[in-house]
Amino acid sequence: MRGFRRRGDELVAEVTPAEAQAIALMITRVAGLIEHEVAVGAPRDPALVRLFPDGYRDDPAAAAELRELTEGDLREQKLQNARTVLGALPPGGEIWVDAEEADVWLMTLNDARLAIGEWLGITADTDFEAEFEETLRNDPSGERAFVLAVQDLLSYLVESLARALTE
Amino acid sequence: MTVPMVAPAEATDASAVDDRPWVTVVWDDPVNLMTYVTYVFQKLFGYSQEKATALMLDVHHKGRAAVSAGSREKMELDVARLHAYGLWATVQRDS
Repeated sequence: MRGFRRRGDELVAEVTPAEAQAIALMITRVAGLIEHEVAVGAPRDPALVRLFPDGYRDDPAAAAELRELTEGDLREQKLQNARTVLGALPPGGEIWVDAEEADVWLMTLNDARLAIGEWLGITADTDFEAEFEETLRNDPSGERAFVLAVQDLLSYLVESLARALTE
Repeated sequence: MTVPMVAPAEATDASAVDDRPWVTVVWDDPVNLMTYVTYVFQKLFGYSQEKATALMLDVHHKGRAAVSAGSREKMELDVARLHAYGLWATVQRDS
């Protein structure tokens, strides 16, 4: 894997086939949650709670009212972004992103990171590196090691893309 | 027995009206990356890299920062735009 760098007007990164597959899997998982959540008001997957937070902190009525106004569009936008990225993600090799699509990539890769953060139970006290190393030592082929590895990969892509865009 | 006189609700003391401006607050979270948050502030609000970085550091060190101020409707729009980018944002009266 190589992080994003500017090349002319575009941004280029490179991933292996296994990495591309893992990224696509996580984006698909998040999009599936957004698309198929059954009933409004039912207990939500923590990833959805994080992706669609209350817009008011101490005013549930105002938060519900704002959610009513904005969440539908937000869900549609996140789904559309995910579809765009899934459609453009190569099965491995170079990822070319133009300036116009860059934010769609950023938002989608970052939404996957936020969802994974919830699934892994990441808190302010989590030492990601230490946690990753320990999991790799104790259960290298387990689901948690896999998800941690994808998170590490996504972080690198988001970091390099945001950096390339602000340079 | 007489019914006590009750002042109509709208006749409240004018000094009690809350006229503090509305603000959009971004809260610290354990997953968003500092570089990413800085980029989002620049992108959404047109802030310089310096200002965006200062706000990001406030979020990181103080746990929160007011990133925009204005009408309630405008702040709700800003919150929705920040949620699209995955930042944890809320609307409130300036404190």
